[in-house]
Amino acid sequence: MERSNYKTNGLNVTLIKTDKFKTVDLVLNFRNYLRKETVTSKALVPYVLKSATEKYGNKREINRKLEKLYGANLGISINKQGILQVISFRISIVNDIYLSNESSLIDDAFAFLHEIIFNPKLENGVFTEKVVLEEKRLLKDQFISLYNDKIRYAYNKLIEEMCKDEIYRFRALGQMEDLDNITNESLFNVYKDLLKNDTVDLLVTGDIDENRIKKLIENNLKFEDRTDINEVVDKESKEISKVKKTFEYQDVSQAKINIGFRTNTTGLDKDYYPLLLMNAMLGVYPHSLLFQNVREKASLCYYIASNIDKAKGIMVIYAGINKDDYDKAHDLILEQIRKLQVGEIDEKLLLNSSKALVNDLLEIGDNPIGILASNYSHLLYQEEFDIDLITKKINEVTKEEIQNVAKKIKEDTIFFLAKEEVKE
Amino acid sequence: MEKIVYDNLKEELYYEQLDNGLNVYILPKRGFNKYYATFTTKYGSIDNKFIPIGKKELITVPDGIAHFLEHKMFESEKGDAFDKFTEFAAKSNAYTSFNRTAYLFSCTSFFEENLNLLLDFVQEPYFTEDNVEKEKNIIAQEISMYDDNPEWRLYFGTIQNMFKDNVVKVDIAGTEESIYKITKDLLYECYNTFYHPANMVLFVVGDVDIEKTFDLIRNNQSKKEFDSFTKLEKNYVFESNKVAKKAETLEMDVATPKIAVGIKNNESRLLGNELMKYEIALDIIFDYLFSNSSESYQELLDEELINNTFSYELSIEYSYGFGIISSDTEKPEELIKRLKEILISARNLKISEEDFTTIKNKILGDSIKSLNSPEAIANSFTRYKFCEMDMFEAIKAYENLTLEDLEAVLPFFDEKALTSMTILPKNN
Repeated sequence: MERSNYKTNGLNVTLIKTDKFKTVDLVLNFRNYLRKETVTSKALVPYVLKSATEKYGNKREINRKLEKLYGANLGISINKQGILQVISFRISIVNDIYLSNESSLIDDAFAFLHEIIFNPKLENGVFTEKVVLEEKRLLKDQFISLYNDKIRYAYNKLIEEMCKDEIYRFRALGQMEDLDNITNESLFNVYKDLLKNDTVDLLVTGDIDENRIKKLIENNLKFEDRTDINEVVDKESKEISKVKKTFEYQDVSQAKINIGFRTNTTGLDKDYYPLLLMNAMLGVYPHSLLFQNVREKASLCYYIASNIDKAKGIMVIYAGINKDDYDKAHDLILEQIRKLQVGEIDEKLLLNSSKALVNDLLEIGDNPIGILASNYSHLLYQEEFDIDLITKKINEVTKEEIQNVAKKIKEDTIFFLAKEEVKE
Repeated sequence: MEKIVYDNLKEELYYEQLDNGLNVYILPKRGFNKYYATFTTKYGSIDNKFIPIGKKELITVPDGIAHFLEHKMFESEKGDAFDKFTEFAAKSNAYTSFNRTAYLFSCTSFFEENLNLLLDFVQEPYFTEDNVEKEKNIIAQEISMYDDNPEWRLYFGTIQNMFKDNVVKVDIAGTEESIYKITKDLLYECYNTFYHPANMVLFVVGDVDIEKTFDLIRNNQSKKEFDSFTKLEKNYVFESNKVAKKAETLEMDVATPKIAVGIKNNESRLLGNELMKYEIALDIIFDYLFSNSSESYQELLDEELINNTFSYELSIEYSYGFGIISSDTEKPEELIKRLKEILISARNLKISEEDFTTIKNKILGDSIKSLNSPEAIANSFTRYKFCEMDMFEAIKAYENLTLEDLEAVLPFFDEKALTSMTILPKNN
């Protein structure tokens, strides 16, 4: 695998050349600060762009075009990375070297991306009424349907409660209340601003040479010059005086316990790798403490895991349990963290966790989407996704560093979703 | 050892059937870090009535036992297989479907150790009364988790409406009641019957040395003894396409109504190339009818009957088959009516040459793309194999399909094969 980076036409290009894949995969990312005034509008923009263009007047025509490109996929996603909101357009297309009668499929894909990004269907100089109305309806349905997925719902509620006064409380998609105030004009202005001011990164991987990509960018993806944003970590935090508990009752068969912690460690800190390893030991793998003790030994749950967000310095532990086991589960979860804090660190657990992290890292290299995502998430920290270097850092972590980073962890908020108690 | 070359796709496949009957496939992926292997038995949740190996009487076992067995396989006398995979830096997992149970690992080092481990832990059952009891609470939590999942309830509700006697209508994990009836002896009975090497497929993908890997597998297997394999007597239930129930409604704590329309396949007795042709033809028609480039999709969207949750799937297997179309919607009754109309009128479908070619190209592209993924190759190949089909042949079969082949499957679209399932928000 060879990597090249360069800047051209107002965008940063990363090409990772490899002949491992039968596809060419690319992602075009727009990033800017997540602002409460525009978060929802910005989330709506890619949906509108993917609905109608000058040349392809509705979704059906757009999707027919994709079918003609041998089932190319155009995916959009909206993510939150610390203080940033990131809008992504991803295309995966069969490399035309595998098709006997095609040689310009990749050129067509770039031209298509150009059409989506730069030539939306307009009326009176702004987005068309019909498209905006439809995409507002569909986004609204997405907000509403979060309620149906109890695992995700509980996770999101925890974040909202825990970060009530911080910008981090916003989801990447924004909030339903904003939708009514979005007009064709206001949305179009947000789109214009995105084209003009967002930091734009194009990442490409596949069996394709640099000159062909250069030419395709020259022909299809021209942006004005701009100053790149070079920060990502959200440093907003708060003092915890007492653990906050929120209980919500719904008609569910399984209760969900979600616990939020402040790690007080981010991707900018020296002890980030100790934190990564600590989290792996705690709750990422079947051999981790939570799975072993809460599921295997105590039979309290089917799923349990812990997540860290390196761009915010928080950790979330979540599990599905029987509602009567709330206290038992909560105590047992905290006990696992305490073990790490007092330095009760099993040599084998540490070794197995570092091996598992390195294995995950190597597996990313076999998946085009994984390659693009990992390169981008490191780029946000002005780092290279260098598997050897990361492996080295993981292997160098010591027991003491793990204990020290564990000591910085503070329980912040609990969100518990359960079926209401029947009072007799 | 046999070598099969798929020139146009730049892939090679190596195959051998071992003396004990095990079918072994190796697909080299040069330049990949990851090794991936699946060890799959042709045994799933529908196989609840069978004659145990060495016996004469048909027995019925509790629902969910294949899935329960999958959970318990990871324990051995010497400890947990998960732990050993962990020591060899591998990730392991397993899943149970209606007609298969698969055990798998992925790793980037210690490939040979992990491959031996996979073969050993699946071939060394260790069930005790104690470890069986303990698992019941965990699986009860798994069932409980799915009970709260409206998509799962919608999917299973639709299948339950379609089938009268076929066990496909029972949740793969069973029920809280049925799993408490599972005992260690029943687990051994199922294990001994269905985990014979001749009933299993091993599929390996990665940058491996072909000869050495076959040697390792042969060595591993030659050390173990198995009874001679006799054909399994399972009692498959073949149902007509008449649905058991036309409609059903369920209330759950959800925010929006959800609906599904199911269409049931008649008899489902096809296997091999006949099944392949049938499945491919229906697949193309379903794409034509419901994909996001279809006329209906755009109309339903414009009429605000569907949203981004709209999806469709087709599943044609030996002894059962169905299509399911589903979406969240504010107008459940209207959407059900429209979807049924689309399905019924498909009986007189005419597809233009141009549309036909476009869909074929799209599916060809999708197939080539799926070859990026070791997981997709191994799992899909095994599924095809158990239905006596070849996955790579299927890719070619798409190209050779004609409009006449499509016409031949149109009787699938039959009014009496239709059912609907609705989930409504509970009024609190």
